[in-house]
This record gives sequence, structure tokens and C-alpha cells, in this order.
Amino acid sequence: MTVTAERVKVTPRSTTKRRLQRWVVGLLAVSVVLVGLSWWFYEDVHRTIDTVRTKAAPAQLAAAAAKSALAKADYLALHSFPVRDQTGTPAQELSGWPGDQYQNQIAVVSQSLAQVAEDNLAGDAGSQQIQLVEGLLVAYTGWIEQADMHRREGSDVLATVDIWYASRLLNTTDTGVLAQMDLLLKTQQEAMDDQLPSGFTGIVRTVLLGLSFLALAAMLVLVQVFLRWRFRRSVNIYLGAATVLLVGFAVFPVVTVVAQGQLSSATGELRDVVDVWQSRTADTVGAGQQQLNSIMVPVCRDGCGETVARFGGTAAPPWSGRQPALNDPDIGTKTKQANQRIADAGVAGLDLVLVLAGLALIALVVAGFWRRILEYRFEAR
Amino acid sequence: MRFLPLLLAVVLVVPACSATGSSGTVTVLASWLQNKDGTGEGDRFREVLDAFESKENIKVNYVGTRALTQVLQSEVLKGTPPDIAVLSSPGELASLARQQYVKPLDTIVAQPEDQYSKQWQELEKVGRDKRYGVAIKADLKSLVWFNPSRTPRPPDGFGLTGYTWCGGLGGTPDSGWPGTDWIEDILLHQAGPEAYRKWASGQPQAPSTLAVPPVWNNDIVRRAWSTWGEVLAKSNPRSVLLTDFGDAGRPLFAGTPGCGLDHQPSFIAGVYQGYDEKPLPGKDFDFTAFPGLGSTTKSWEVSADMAAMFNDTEPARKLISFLAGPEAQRIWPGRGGAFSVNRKVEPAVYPNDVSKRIAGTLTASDTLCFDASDLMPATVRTAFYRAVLEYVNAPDREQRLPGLLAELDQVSASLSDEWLEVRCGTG
Repeated sequence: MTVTAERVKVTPRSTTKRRLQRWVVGLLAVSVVLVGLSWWFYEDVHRTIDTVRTKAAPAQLAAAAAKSALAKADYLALHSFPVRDQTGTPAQELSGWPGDQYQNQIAVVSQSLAQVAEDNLAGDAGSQQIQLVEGLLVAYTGWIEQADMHRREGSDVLATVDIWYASRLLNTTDTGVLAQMDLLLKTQQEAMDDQLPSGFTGIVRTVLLGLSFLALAAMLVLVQVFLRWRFRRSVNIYLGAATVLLVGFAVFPVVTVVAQGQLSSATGELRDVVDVWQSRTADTVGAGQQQLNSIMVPVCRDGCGETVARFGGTAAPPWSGRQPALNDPDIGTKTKQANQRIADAGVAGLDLVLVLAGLALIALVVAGFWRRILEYRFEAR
Repeated sequence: MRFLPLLLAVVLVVPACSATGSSGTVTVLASWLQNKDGTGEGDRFREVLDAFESKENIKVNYVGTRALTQVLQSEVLKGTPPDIAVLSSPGELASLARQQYVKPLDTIVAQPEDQYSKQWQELEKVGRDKRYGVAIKADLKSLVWFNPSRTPRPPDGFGLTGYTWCGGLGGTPDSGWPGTDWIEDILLHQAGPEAYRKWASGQPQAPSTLAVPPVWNNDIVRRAWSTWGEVLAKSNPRSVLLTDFGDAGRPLFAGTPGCGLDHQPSFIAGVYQGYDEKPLPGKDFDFTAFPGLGSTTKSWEVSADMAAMFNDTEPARKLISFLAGPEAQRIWPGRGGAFSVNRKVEPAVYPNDVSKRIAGTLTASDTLCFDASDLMPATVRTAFYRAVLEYVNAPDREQRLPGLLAELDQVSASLSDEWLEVRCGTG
């Protein structure tokens, strides 16, 4: 009986191997998640910064520049429009109209539109809007050329009509060239916004990175406690090194979160610059329309119909009263600052370091368990 | 193993579901834009396309752009045109058909006469021997609008010079076009559709051996201009030149009565309804036909936005066929702001009597002619617009006219190979 009892006696099964396996799998999984998320977020934020720097900002600034230049061109054409005095003598020499400054501004419009096309971030919608604006711009300059021709021929009324059509083409609500340029700018801004992480996404990213970092740190501490209790060793050198490396690895999530904040701040500054520019352009447009009104008054003493009457009443766009500044160094400075803020955002070039550090972290985790895994390799389950 | 049947079911059923999820895709380009509040013309057209998607299970990718001509030209040259585009200029469609960029639709779209009058069957050929377009929405020109509470309805054949006309030639970016509509209507109603066709296709009214054929500087065209000059005699030229076409009709409803009659296409009804006075169709504004001025043929000028097919795919065929049918044709008119030329679209879908009469005229048996300037080469068209402005401004119009017409002949002769010949649609 004793022999039989001894034969059926089963040695208690060790749970060490299973627990070791769970620690290894858990640590590796959390390490991979942390390294993967860090790399993904770092890449995404820096790719977005790059897109904003090389595409979105130049496209938006060029769109704002195009609109500003066109408003200035129209103002210059209207301001220098040679109105005849009461004796019928041209108040200004015709040869000078619409003038070099007008031509220069029209050239700036064309160059700026070409820049928007090159950096267009809005795909087909952006391209179509550029084509529309370019088509309308040709019509606008055509009317100005007609006005010049009619002035030279002495057809003052027709010249005034031409410049009226040109200015209407520019300023008509919703369908005018300036309104279409606003739409072009808007499509570029919306395309940039689509690329930017939303506030919610940013929070989710930060939380995920923080949680995975804390989880890995906690696991590395706990596994040391477990190993010390089970194998009577004071410290596992490899896992200790992994813990130290993890502390250093924290720089990547921090860089990413900081870069995200810098990106948000820089794009906000970009929007502010564009808004200021738009506001200055509105002043130029308002001054131009006042000038148009003063051109129309002597021509329309005997009445010029409903449209001119409404223009002189309520249809003219509001004007702040500020005279337009044809050279606006303030805008140039603000633009430069915004571009610098975008250029300074993030710390590019760390992706390879991040990957290598991540791999080293994973390798240290594996190395920390290697000896124990070999010891328990042949133990039955 | 117990999950194997489930796995097999998923593997087999999912592809089957995706196969029945959509039966293809078709891309559509047009000039109608969609608004965020859903009130754009593009939103109305999207409703038509949505009905097609529901019916045929085919996805429609719609792109609306105001730069339709530029975008289409660019895509055609790149070899990547949309499957279907809706063109507002019959001249542009005719030109694309001549270059074989668009496909004939005769085998795709049935043309029973109970749906499309002979006139529209002819017009949708845009001067070719096959049908190339499907009119999505049409407008009737040759209309004279008045305020019934202020001006009695003009009698049939009324004289143009007996009334004070509203005038406005502004219309960005092509200011001058309302004047070309005047000359076209006068010529059509004085000399008839055949003379109109010759002029609109760049042919002199009589055989000519001159180096510069007198397409413009002949008795028929000169008479039309002179008649318009008589109409203008009571108007202030500066007011006519500087007023937008959309503002021209305001004096019809203003507190102080102004002009009595307004020569405008059917879409002006929507513009009137946007005025501060909120005039009502039938009560505050109504229309009568442009008077016959010697021609015995009852004729109208029309314009239409026509869908054309660039890629012959099964989904594109199905969409074109759907767009031509009464089911699609009654959707947009039912929401207001469009007229169908399909006779199966019941008058009841139109919101008021004025709209019903316009739709009735578009589908009746009178002769219909496309706007002549829409058929002319672009350079001639622009010259025509500008000639109109010059003419209105001229202190002595009769003296200025021969010179203007000679200049138009010069421009026309230099583009002799770009003219199109699109006949009027006759019953």
C-alpha cells in the first residue's frame, strides 16, 4: 500500500514558468505599444508641421497676398483714373493710366496665384478655385484695358462704364473676384485644418502616451520585486537598464506633445496674420469703392439707374476710413514671425533615434528574462 | 472547429454583400454649387442624383464648379474628363461634339415624341446628326415682363416703341449680353428663323464673294440694330449702361413707377422675387411674348443646360438615360427655379401660373432657337457684347452703326472656321 501511495503521489506543479511568461508577454506588449505610439505620434505631428511649413502656410499667405494685390491694383486704377475737369480737360495725362504700380500689383496677383497652385493643399477643389479666379482676373484686366482704350479715344463715358464693370466684377457679393479669392483662401485653410490634430485627438494622444509610459514603468518596478522574491536576486541588471532607458525614452512623448502645442500655436498665429491681412485688404477695397463713388458722381448727375443709386446708398461695402498702405512692412514682419514660429515647431530628425531607443528597450526586456526562460525551457506545463 | 461554419459564412457572404453594395460609380461635373444651408442650385441637382443613386444603386460623385469651362477643358486635354458634364453653352457642346470628345446618345436615350418635342430633339443635336445633349433645365427668352397692376397686358403684336422699357446691360463678367438678347430677338422676330440661323452660324444673308462676307453689315442685321436703337431712344444711355440686368426691373415695383416693360429671360422671375417689395408672380409681375415684327413664324429664343457623356460606361449610360426621363425631370421643377422640356412633366409640379405657362411654351410646337451669341465663336461673342455697349453710348447711333458692323465683320471673317451651324428646332 505504501508503494502504491508513493507511486500516485504527484509533485506540486510550479507556477513560475507561467508567471514568467506572463511578465515577458506583458512587458513586451506594453513596450511595443509605447514605442509604436511614440513613433506614430512623433511622425504624424512632425509630418503635419512639415506640411504646414512647406504647403499650407505658403498657400494661405500667397492667397492673401493675391487678394491684397488685386485690391491695391483696383484702388490704384481708380485713384489715378483721369477724371476730366469742368472745362473738359483731362485732369491727368492719359499715358500714365493705369500706371506701373497697377501693372506691378497685377503681376503680384499672377505670381501669388501661381504660388497657391504650387502649394495647393486642397486638391481638386483648390485647383478649380484657382482656375476660376484666373479666368475672372483676365476679365477684370480686360475691362481695365478697355477703359484705357476708350479714354485714349476720348470716350469718357464708356471708359467710366468700363471701370465700373471692372470694379463690379471685383466686388460683387458672392460671385465677385474678391469673394472667390476669399473662397480660395478658405479652401486652403480648411485643407490645413483637416491635417491638424483636433483638440480631442491631441488629448487622446497625450493620455495614451502617458498611460502606456506609466504602465511600462510600473511593470518594470513590479517585475523587479517579483524576481527578487522568487529568485532571491537583488536587481535584474537588464531590466534595471530598461527602466533607466525608459526614463530617457520619455523625451520622445514629451517632444511630441510639446511639438503638438507649438504647431497649434503657430497655426493660430498664421490665422491671425491672415486675418490682419484680410482686414487691411478690406480697407483698400473700401477706399477703392469710395474712389469709384467719387468718379461716378459727376458722370451721373442726370441719373445712372438703380445699380449706381444703390451703390451710392447701401450697396457700397463698408469702409473703416483708413487709407490703404500700398507698402505694408508691418504685414511683412508678422508674416516672417509666423513662418519662423512654424519653422521652430517640433524637433525634427529624432525618428531614427526613437526607433533605435525603442528597439533597445525591447531588447533589454527580452535580455532581462532570457536566463530564466532558458532555465524553465524544458519544464512541463 | 466549431467556428469554421461561421468563418466560412463570413468569408462567403461579405464579398457578396459588397458586390451588391454598389453597382459602380459615375462622375458628374456641372456649374451648380451646393450651399451649406442646402439652398444652392447644386443641392437641387444633387437631389436628382440622389434619386438615381437610390434607384440604380450606383454612386454619383458630383463636382460643382463655377470654373466649369476651364476645368472641363483642362480635364479633356489631360484625357481624364468626367463621365458626364452639364454644359450651359450649346456652342461649347457643339464644339466638343465636333471634336468627338462627347458620345452620341441616340442608342442610350429614347426620344419618344410624347416626351421630347421635335424642336428639342433637333436642338439637343446641337447642329450634328445625332443627339449629344440632354437638357437638364431650360430657360425661355423672348419674354416681356410687366407689372399688371400698373401696366395693362400689351396686346399681341404690340409696337416696341410705344412703351418705356427698363434697361440694364451690366452682368459680370460679360456685361453687354442683355443687349445682344435684344438684337437676337428683334432679328428673329423681324426676319424669321432662317435668317437668324444664317447670322448665328456666320453666313451672309445672300451669297457673297467679298473677302469679308457681310455677316453683320447687311440689311437684315442692320435693321435689327436700328430697331433696338428706336427702343433705346426714350432711355438714358448712361443708366442703361451702368445698371445691372438684375436691377433693371426694380422700377416695375418701386414706389415711384418707372419703366413699364422689361425684356428678360424666364430666370428673371426668381430675381424679381428677391426684391425688397417681394413681388408675387401673376399678381405683381407677368409676361407676354416678344411681339412678331414681320416674321410669320411664331418663334422663341431658348437656352438650356445640357448633360453630355464623355466616357461610355454602363453607369454613365444609366445616369444619362435617367436624367432624360420624366422621373428625374420633374424633381428640380418641383422644388422651384427650373423648367423641364420633357412633356411628361406635369404642369402641376410648377408652383404658379406664370411658371406653368413658361413650361408650356417650352414644350409646345412653336419654333425654338438657341441664343445666337452662345453659338458664336468666343471672340466674336465678346466683340458683339462690346459693340452693344458702343452702340448704346453713341450720340448718333445710326451714324455709328455701319462702322460697328464692319468691325464685327472683320472679327468674324478672321474666325471663319470656328463658326457652328445649329438650326432652330421647328415643329
